[in-house]
Amino acid sequence: MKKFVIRRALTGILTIIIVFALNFVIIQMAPGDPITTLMGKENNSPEMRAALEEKYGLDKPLPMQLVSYLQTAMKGDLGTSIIYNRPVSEMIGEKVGATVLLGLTAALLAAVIGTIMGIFAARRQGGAYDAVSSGVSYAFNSMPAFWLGLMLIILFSSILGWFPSYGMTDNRASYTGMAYVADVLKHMFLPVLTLTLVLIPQYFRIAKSSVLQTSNEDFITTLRATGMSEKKIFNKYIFRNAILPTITIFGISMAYLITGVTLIEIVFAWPGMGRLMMTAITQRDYPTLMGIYLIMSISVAVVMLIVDIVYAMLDPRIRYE
Amino acid sequence: MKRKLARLMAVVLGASMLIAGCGKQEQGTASNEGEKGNGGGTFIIRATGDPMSFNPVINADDNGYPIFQNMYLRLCALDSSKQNLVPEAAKEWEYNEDATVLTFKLREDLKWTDGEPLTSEDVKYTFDGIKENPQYYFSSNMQNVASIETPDEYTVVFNLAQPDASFVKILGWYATFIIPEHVYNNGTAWTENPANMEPVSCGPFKLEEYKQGESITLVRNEDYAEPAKLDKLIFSIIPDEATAIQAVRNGEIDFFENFPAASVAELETDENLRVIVNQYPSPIRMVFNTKAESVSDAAVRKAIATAINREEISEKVFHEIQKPEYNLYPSMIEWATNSENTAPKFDTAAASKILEDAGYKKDADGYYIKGLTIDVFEGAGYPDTAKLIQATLAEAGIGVEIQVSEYNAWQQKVGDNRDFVILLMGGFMGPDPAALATRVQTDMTFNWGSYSNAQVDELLAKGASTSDETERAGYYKEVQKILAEELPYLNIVNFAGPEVNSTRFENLPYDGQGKWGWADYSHVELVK
Repeated sequence: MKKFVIRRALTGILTIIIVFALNFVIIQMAPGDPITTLMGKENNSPEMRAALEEKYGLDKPLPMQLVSYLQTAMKGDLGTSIIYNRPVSEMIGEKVGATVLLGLTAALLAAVIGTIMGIFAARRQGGAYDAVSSGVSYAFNSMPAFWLGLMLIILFSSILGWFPSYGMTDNRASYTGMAYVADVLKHMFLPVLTLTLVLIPQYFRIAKSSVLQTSNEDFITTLRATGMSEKKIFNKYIFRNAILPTITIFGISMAYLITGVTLIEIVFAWPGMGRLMMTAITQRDYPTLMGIYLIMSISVAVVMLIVDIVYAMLDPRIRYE
Repeated sequence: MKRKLARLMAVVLGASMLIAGCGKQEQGTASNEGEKGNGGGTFIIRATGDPMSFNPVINADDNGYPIFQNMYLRLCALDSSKQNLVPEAAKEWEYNEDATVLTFKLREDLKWTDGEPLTSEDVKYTFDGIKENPQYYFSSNMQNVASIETPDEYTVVFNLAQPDASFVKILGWYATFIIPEHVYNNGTAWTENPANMEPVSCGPFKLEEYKQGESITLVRNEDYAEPAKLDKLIFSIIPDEATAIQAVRNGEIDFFENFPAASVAELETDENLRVIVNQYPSPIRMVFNTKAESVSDAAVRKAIATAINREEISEKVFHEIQKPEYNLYPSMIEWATNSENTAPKFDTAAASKILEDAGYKKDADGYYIKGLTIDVFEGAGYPDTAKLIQATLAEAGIGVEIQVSEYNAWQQKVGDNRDFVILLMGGFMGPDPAALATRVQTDMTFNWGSYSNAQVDELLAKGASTSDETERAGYYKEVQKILAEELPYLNIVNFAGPEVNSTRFENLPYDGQGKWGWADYSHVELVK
């Protein structure tokens, strides 16, 4: 077990380093650079460009830039944003909370609701509930999230006036304490609803198909033959087996949580990591981008490690060697 | 299980209704409070992104620009017509006869937010600093300033190396705000000064709070000589235009500048909103790379110019908000534009004939010329404009391909590397026709088409060297006449940004032509 974890952790670290170096090179090779952003539209004074390139060390060869970045990153310093002149770690720190709040809430709701719906559909396979819920699930699955978000804004904000259409807090008021919590909850309702609706289908389908699959296994037929009650068979044997794939899917979605809700953040003007990343891409803010990619690859690696371990623990067929 | 699910749903539904309900109530009381006392009120403006810092001169910062105009002062500022100068920190100014000495008289009642007075020393320090450091946006414009003198606390004199009657107007445009010497003159570089994030400013509003990615909140500066009427001015960052449209309809924001032309009709029907169309002398234009062999022949450029259907582009891409522009210099600047010598009218047959006469032959596919490229960047209607141009050019027997890039990559390709044949771009050509020089004068940095004509250069130099408007108009009209023959670039449609505001407020910057700056919100007043 210990050996298994260490080996997986080492592979994870290696992956992070390779991904990081690749990202560094790819971003720099992409056309455009942060100096163009700093200089403003339609300005290409060569003196201004030279002065700025020297200031940010962008006139040095690429390998030297990579080495100096890695040196500071090893010390836990993600550098300073070229565009905003603020520490990258500070900028990321401000945004992580909002994204996790939105992404995690929606992922949990979608996993619970989708799985319950899937189980119901599987247990009444072919019935009216199955037909309707499968249909609805396919409909939401094929809807672009940004479009659905806008439709919900038009319905719930513009027509009904129940919820605000953008942001995380009310700009006109500065709430504190419980009022602040209520304000944030009210603002997150629509984005969470949108995200939940588009995430439900995958949990629905996984849960439905794995319940169906497990129900048709030989050992279930054997249990039925022993005369065990359907309720007990389901709760004790089918459910436990069928929930494994859902856990995997949920784990993977956690890995992409940090930047996976970008479109929703843009539509609802939610101040999260996804928007920070998009802005950094259009402005070619190399240090901010590298910081975000580093955090992303670390979180993917860590979650994958955890999923591997949990899976190995739950499923005795997976060996540690 | 079924019952459990039903119960769960009931709880979720109940909780969300509770949240919606209680939040709403509080919002009501809060906004009432905000509007008490001194007229007051909070005015929320849609912003597209974050300012790079709160230093108004170190960067060319489009997101910071409207914010700076409310926190800081320039000597003088352009109004919403982008043609008239209005006083800000200076109460008056004048040129000497040959446009080489520009003298400003400053207001004497201005103070920085830390209590220090704003004097001519601050002005000199700011502009000397900009001139010395090529990293700052306005630096290249300062190279013609030989020296700055401060005969007394409230007088500033700019001595110009070459005559330049348009310099005062450029001072009213971009990255020319005055910064406090006593804060910035401390041995560290301006870019590293902590005051960039905790600014000491001098305008009608001052910074209260900045939340990156969310909002910038300014409050009234009580010590300003003419205090603003609003309590608060909030720039609220909403990246998506469609969301911002809904937010302005719902009263969650009060002002949205440059909203999509497609939404004009929808918002105009809303009685709580006022829609106006704000024109800028920033036409969308086509620039030819005169160094590229395929378009170095003036006949080819003329044929292309004749095969562009501006009416169709204006109608289909810009919903007739941005109108066709045939003049070589924006027609909204009436004193300087030349409406007699313009780009040719649309006529594909005539375009083909121009090519025939110039000796071009049709190939088997019916094309005289093939393989030209148009470089455009994503958004703002450019790719669609290029597609319509491509279609009418094909009718005339000219084959072009469209290359779409993202803005940053586009600018590097066409601006820095001059790697293009034809491009489409926008950009400010005001406030003064002297701006023509930056676009077409030999070897100027913004002359991306590398156009060069000795006669044009001479006329542009003459135009800059006198402050007599009639005389200057003559030179610039002559320049446009030459440009209309040689067509190194041509305008397609003018630029007009629809803007919408809540009718709860009056006296927006747009209403202050000739009186106050075009993003100065200190006169905005809550009326209901």
